[in-house]
Order: sequence, then C-alpha cells, then structure tokens
Amino acid sequence: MGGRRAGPTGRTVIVLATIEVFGVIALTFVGASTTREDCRFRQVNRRIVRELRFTDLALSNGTSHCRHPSQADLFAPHGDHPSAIEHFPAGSFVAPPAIRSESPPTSSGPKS
Amino acid sequence: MRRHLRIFDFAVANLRRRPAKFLVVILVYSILVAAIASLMMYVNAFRREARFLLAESPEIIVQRLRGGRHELSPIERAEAIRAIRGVGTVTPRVWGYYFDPPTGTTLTLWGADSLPHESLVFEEGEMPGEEFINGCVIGYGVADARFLGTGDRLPIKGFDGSLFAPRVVGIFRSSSSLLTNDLVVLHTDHLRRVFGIAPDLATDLAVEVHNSHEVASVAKKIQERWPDARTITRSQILRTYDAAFDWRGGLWAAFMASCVAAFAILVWDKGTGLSAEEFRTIGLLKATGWKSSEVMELKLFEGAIVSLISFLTGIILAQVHLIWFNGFVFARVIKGWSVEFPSFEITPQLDASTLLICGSMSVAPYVAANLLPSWRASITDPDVALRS
Repeated sequence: MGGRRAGPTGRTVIVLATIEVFGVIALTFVGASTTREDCRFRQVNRRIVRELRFTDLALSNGTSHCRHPSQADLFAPHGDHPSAIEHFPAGSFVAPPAIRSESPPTSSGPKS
Repeated sequence: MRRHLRIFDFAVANLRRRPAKFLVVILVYSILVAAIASLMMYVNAFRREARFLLAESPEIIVQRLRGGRHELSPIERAEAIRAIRGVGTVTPRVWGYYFDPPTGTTLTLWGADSLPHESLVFEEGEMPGEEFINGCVIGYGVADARFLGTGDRLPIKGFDGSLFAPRVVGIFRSSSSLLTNDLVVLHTDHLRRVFGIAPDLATDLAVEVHNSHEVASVAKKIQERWPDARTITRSQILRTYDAAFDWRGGLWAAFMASCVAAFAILVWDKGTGLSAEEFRTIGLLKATGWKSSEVMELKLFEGAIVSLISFLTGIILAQVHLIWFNGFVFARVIKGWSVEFPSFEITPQLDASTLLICGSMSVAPYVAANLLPSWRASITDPDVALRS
C-alpha cells in the first residue's frame, strides 16, 4: 500500500469493477452487432409491411382486438353483449388504443 | 488522496470480514438491477421494432362502419378517394380471420397479388409466380403447428362449407414471425371465394398520401364525404403500439415496484439496525482518532462498492438475458398470449436512460440507507459506542 495507489484489497475491487465496465461495453457492442446482422431481415420485414400494407404485429392471435389492436373497436372485448367482461388472456396485456385526438371530429365511430 | 485510498482499503477489508453477507447482498441486489434493466431494454426493443416496421404501414386505413361495427367497404370509393388532392394509390385490402380447428387457433388470412421473394423459404428451384395464384404462402408458426412444408396442402373451409385446399408454395422465414407468424396469404381472388366477399367489396382501403403533413386533412375530407367511414392514420397505429407496450411494461413495473420496495425495506432495516459489532467498530474508530467525516467516508465507500459491483453485474446479467436467452423471463407477458406464439429475436440496446433509471432506482436508495444510520453512530460518543 505505497504511494498514491490502493492496497491489494482495494485493488481487487477496482480491477473487478473495471472488468465489469468492459464487460458492459463489450455486451453493448454485441447487442448492437446483433441488430446489424439482423438489419437485412429487418429491411425485408419493412418491405413486407409496405407491400402487404400491414398495420399490426402478429403478437397475439386469440382474438381480433389483440391481433389487430390498431384496427379494432374500443368496445371489441365487449362484443358478445353489453358489459361483457374481457375473457381473452391476451386482453389483459393489450392496452386500449390511445385516444385518437388528431382525427377530425366525426360521428362515424367510437375511435375517431 | 492517500488518506482516501487507505479508507477505501479499509472499507474493502471491512466488507471481506463478512463475505457471506456481502455476497448475499450483492446477489439479491444484482438480480434486482438485472430485472429492472431487462424489462426496460425489452420493452424499448419492442417499441423500437414496432416503430421501425410500422413506419411503412399505410398512411390511412379507411373502414366502413354500420351500426358501430366494421363492415366491408365498396371498392368504388377507392376511385373517389384517389381523386382527393395529395392522395397517391388507394389499395383495397381483403383479409379476415379463420378459426383452424386442428390447432385450435385463429389464423389471419390475407389477400395479395404478389409477395417479396426474399422473405420466403422455398423448395429448391421453386418460386411463387404462377404457383402463388393457386397456392398459398404461410407463416412460420402455421407451418410449425400444422407440420406443413412447401408442396403440402392446407385445407380451409369456405364460408359456404366448401373445402378449399391450396398448396403451400412458400413459408415465411422465422425472422419475419413478428409480422407473419399466424398468416396465410392467398391470392386475393381465392380469398374472396373463401370468405364470400363480392368483387366490388373489400375489407378496408389503404390510402397512400404523398405529403405526411396532409394526412389529417385527407382523413377529414374522407370522413366528410362518407359519414359512415372511419379513418385510422399511421400515427394512430404507432401510438396504439406505444400504449400497448407501455401497458405491458407497466404491468411488470408494478410488480417490480414491490420488489424494489422489499429491497429498500431490507436495506433500511439493515442500515437502521446497525449490529452491535458494527456500532462498536465505529466507536473504536472514533476512539482511535477517526473523525466523523472519515467514518462517513468509510461507510460511503462500503455502500458505493456494493452498489457499483451489483449494478454492473446486474446490467451484465440483463444483457446476457436479452442477447442469448431472448428475454425469456418477460417474453410471455410483453409479447402477449396466444396459442400460436410468435418466436422471434429482439434487439436490445443499452442506453443512457436505462442506466440512469436503474441507477436512481437501486444505487441511490442503497447508499442513502447505508449512510443515515452510520451518521447517527458516528456522532455518538465513542465511550457510549464501545460500551453498547
């Protein structure tokens, strides 16, 4: 423990922390490289969206308001009868669409 | 400087005197940081992917409503919409859902006239040209669930009970499962036959608008012209997904808040209830000439060492969890729930906001909870502390 350097015990912690910092940086690059490797596929996926004119991701296909949340009616979970309780498991994890405030006022539907 | 380094050394030696306690705290602390960081990166990755992909979705979708419910749109409206200034192409979309009894899942049937070839897996030498007109292209999830390969037939029951069995001419690559997992793409004419949709009708209309600033104005004109029309713009679609992932992330965050609270209580309890040995150690240090500020520095170093090591270990665990294990802990909740579960890779990205939020949620409370009781002990008379 001489001069202005930490002793052996302190040095162990400093070395460990440094290794971990490098680990975090290395893994960040690994994550970024995964993105780059997939880049071609991501571009292909974008092309699929463009050519087939998709509006939604295929996350949950149990029911229409979970498969195409952006296209569904706000009342879709209650489609069976008024005040029906949502009974699809995915429905617990799909939020109702955001209020579409930028649409012009209309009386045509509950979403507008 | 030398004095600080010696205090730092002493802090490390202090922690090493109780290795089991030190390691348990680091383990629990690291898991907590890993869970928070994983959740944040996972939700961000999904949000980023949704924005990236759906940025190519149609500027406006025009639906027709009848009695508050979605109804088929007359194709003749497409011509009238195309005449609106600023509108490019207007494409009638024909699509719908089909319950597949053998797998007990609902498939999405989509009508198309062509497909991007690079997204498909084909049998050697086979490309969907003329083949596609009489066949179908299916998602990876459908092929997996129905054990289908190219060349096999997929039986579909039409609206009138007739059986239609198109040959599978292509399967979407698994890398596109996020979009195509449950998809069956048929030629539009065949899909009309399956669903019984007349040639002059479509499920909805996809409208291209040249200038993105004119989207709201075009949507307004469409709604003024057809009072039974509902327009859904691309920005609304993107906002829907932002809300969906905020909701899903929020569910987990609510659960994790209780874990953070439990950890905070643990730390507070550990901090406020300094053990007799720790209390005596502080008394001894004071008796041998340590100042209160130096005792505080010692405790600050102890807290900072535990926090730093745990924080970095937690971030590393989170990255490993997402990069190599695809976030399996959160996958079910964030992706959703379904019989046909899409399997795809996410692209996590560590950013400054994740580091800052994880740091403020874990490091700051731990260091604070360590310092407060130590300050109380350090201002106690050494004689009282030694006799305690």
